[in-house]
Amino acid sequence: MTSAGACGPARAARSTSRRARPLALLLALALALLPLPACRGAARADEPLLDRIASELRLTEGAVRFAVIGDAGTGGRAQYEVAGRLAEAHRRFPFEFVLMLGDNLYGLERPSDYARKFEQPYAPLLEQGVTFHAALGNHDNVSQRLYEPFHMGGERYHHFRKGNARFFALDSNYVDPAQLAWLERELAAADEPWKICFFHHPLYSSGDRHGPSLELRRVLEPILVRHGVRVVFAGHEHFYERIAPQHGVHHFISGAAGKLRRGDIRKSGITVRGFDRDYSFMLVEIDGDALRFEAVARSGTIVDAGVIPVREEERQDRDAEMASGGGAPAGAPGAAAR
Amino acid sequence: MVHGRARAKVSARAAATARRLAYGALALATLAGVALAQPVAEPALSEAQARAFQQRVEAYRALRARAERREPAPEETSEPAEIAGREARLRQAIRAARPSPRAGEVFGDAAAAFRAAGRRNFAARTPAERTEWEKQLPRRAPPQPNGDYPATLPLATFPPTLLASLPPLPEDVEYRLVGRALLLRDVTANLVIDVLPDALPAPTPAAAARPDPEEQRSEAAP
Repeated sequence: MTSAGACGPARAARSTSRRARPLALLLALALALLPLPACRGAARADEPLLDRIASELRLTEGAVRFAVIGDAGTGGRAQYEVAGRLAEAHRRFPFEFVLMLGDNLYGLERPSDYARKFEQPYAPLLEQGVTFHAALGNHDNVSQRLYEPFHMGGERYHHFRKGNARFFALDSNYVDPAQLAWLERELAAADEPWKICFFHHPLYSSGDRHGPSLELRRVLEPILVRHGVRVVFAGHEHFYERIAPQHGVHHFISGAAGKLRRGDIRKSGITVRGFDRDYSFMLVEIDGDALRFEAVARSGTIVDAGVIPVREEERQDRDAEMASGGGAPAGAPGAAAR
Repeated sequence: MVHGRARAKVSARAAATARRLAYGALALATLAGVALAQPVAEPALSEAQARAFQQRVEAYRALRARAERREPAPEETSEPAEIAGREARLRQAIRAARPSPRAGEVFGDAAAAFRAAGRRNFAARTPAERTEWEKQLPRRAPPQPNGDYPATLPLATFPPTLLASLPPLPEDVEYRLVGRALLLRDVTANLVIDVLPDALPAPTPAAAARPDPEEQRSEAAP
């Protein structure tokens, strides 16, 4: 593993003499423009936790495996191509379920649209028993909550458990006091070491067209931080971006499974990795204390990868439980129950 | 010598204290500035106004419940045709029971208070938050009461701080913003219950120059 801060253009520039500095700067610029997946840009994180690894998904027995797609439902060729790549990925990395980050069905939502924008492109996965868990986007009719294959239980916001992780799907279109109270209550009651939220509008983003949802951030972030949410997946922006951890929360944008806004990322101080040149999706594996992820482009290239450790507090709780003879907890590697 | 050193220590301590006070004052001023910039979630309506408004909403729901006895609301299913069919039939049944609703009849005499809440919330925003809000609002003319909420119209995020200041609604009714209008929408039947025009201030010139999010969508939809 390599520390994200210790590689890349900055290091190259530091190690050269003053006379060679212009050359080094040119080299650094060239390196910055190369599509290197695992060693680009310094992580301006508020914690030095996220190390990068070359290929990341280990297929550990009992790990929680899932994929993430956002802004997928156009019914267009790109969606089908990404879906094909996703099915291919499933053969090497048999994920159990898929998180849908909203904009699941663009445009009309007639029965034929459900077929063309969801059932047909993902048919190979649905046939394999892969389940889809949806959050609502700004292009989604609320009636999607009633569509069983989206596993929303008839609710606009919901949560479910997989192994040692609990997933919270929020309706970021309509964050009313009732939803905030629900989130506060359910997060407080969740005792899984991994708490993961997914919703449509990103709290942090370097997108030029949309940018961050500042007001949502103001109301949601304190709750997420207070209850130890470790990872947030959002869409809305049609690209992939990994944000440096904010108050201990790792934010991902994965909104390019059917739409792409090429060149829209205005790389900011919080961007660890951005990819806006092709469509993409994510693969994730939660293996005890580690969450490993890959972002994969439509071409099949891995454009980002890494591992996120569980929160220190969770690890300490687990160790204390072990020390008191509590046996192997749910969070231990290989012990995650389905 | 000793006295000199002591004096120097005292003056250094005084300088450090002054620095701390200055930083503290700066921090307080920053916090105060931030607080002033936060949209305030004070109730938009008086208690009496809110109660009367909620009674009108309940009257609509009672009418809807009667319609549902004839045309049941959609339920969870894997058949999208069933969801769409039930939704459309329920909508028709509601329209039959409420054939010519007047715009503003549910907002009623609280209309001015709703408009004031929108303006107040908007005015309390930072420029970045104003931009964020304005750029996602669809700009087309709002649908009329008893109309479908158009399937091709994006649902702009309803600002949570504004939502917190409005009277709470039951789960199956929601507020929506289209252009400058505030809508009440029946979620189950996808029907516009009421419309309040001019509930928001006019868009800034910068926002008016931006492409309509609805256009962006139709351009991308295959």
